[in-house]
Amino acid sequence: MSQDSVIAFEIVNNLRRATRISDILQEMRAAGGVFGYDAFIITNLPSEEEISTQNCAMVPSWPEGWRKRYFERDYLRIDPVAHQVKRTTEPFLWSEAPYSADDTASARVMNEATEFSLTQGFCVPIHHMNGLGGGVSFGAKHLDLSEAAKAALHLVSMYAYQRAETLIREAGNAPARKSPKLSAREVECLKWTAAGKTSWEASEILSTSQRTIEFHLKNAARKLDAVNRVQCVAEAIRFGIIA
Amino acid sequence: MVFVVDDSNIAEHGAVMEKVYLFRHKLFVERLKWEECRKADGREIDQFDGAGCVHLVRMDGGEVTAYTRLLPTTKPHLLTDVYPHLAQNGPAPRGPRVYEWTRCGTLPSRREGRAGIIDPATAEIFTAAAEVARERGWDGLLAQTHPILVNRLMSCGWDVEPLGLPTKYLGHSIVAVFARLKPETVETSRRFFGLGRSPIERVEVDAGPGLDIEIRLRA
Repeated sequence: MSQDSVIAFEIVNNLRRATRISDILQEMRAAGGVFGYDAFIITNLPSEEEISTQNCAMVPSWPEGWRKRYFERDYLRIDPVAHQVKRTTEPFLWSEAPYSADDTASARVMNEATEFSLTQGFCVPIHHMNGLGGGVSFGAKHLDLSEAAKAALHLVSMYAYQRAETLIREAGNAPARKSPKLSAREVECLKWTAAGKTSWEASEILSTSQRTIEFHLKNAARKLDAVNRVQCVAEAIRFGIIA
Repeated sequence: MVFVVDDSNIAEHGAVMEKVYLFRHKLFVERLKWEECRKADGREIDQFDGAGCVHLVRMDGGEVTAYTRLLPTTKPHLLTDVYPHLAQNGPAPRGPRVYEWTRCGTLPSRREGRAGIIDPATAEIFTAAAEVARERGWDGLLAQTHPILVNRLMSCGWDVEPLGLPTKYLGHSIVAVFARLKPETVETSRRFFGLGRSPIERVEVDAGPGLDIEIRLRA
């Protein structure tokens, strides 16, 4: 039995026993030292209807700046690696994820990743549930994987994804987070935002200043733990604060 | 519904088994191109068919729409005779309470569509395997399959232990696992596939001293 498989089985055993997402994170970071990757992500793919890709990531261990940019700009929708996940059930190198020369969006994602020292990578698609599936992706400045190491990461990914998915689903079955209390004015501002009005338009409708509208929306976002207006509206709908 | 054929009733079900062998040839040889299993008469039968096998057959209007075969590991089976190299992680479990899950398939036209909806035939066959394992007091099932199905087994509530690393076979990954039955596996499988009750046909009950056969016969 090869060294890679011994290590893979050890990691898999630990992953099967993981009781928190942080256990998975720790195990997968340690594995990076063995297999030579610097960062990884465990994520689902977004559906067409999904407003934001923020909730797709299950364990996003990208460099902080890249994670933020990747999800704020919904790169999951244009990343050629994510597109390749939809086309195959077999693991592949990032360099094997094709995109045409005139596809500037794909090229942008791949180029910007290099700013965060994610130049080479390997991705394991997971398609077991109904829906779009997801995968585990590993990135590094230089990634040199033998065939045995790829097989080892394939096995590790199957278990890392499964465990993360199970832990998140179980947490979702726990009593829901209490709905935050929003002021009447904040709710009103959110309703107009959800209806597609800009803050200037909302200020005209509510006969107040644009700054006041933005003040209320900012407070609503803080209470809803949202990073932008789109997520703020989505969270408000989820909590039933607005229809 | 899924019909169980084993040593106790196979003699009476020659007609069903004929359909099974033709279905297996159509699916595994003609559709999935398992050329080593091709037979001149179009009936896919191998050296492992025989005493001790448990066949799960899903019939729809007299036609087979899904099927799987559970092989006793007390005799030669695929992991010992065909894919021994897949179990790199030491010897695989075997014994009277370990069976091997083989030849699992659904009629191609009924397989999962683009919407990602799992066909009821697939759902019933997957759940039936867990039900039969529980009913007969088995520890679990060996399987050699694509990793995506390993994730599905885990989602169905099996405790899945890998027996080796995935390897490539004809361009596709394959990995050997031991899927251990847990007390909740049947319930989790039914919930995963949205089945309200057991998919197993109970017209003729085989002699197996199942724990809850009586209860389910009344249901």
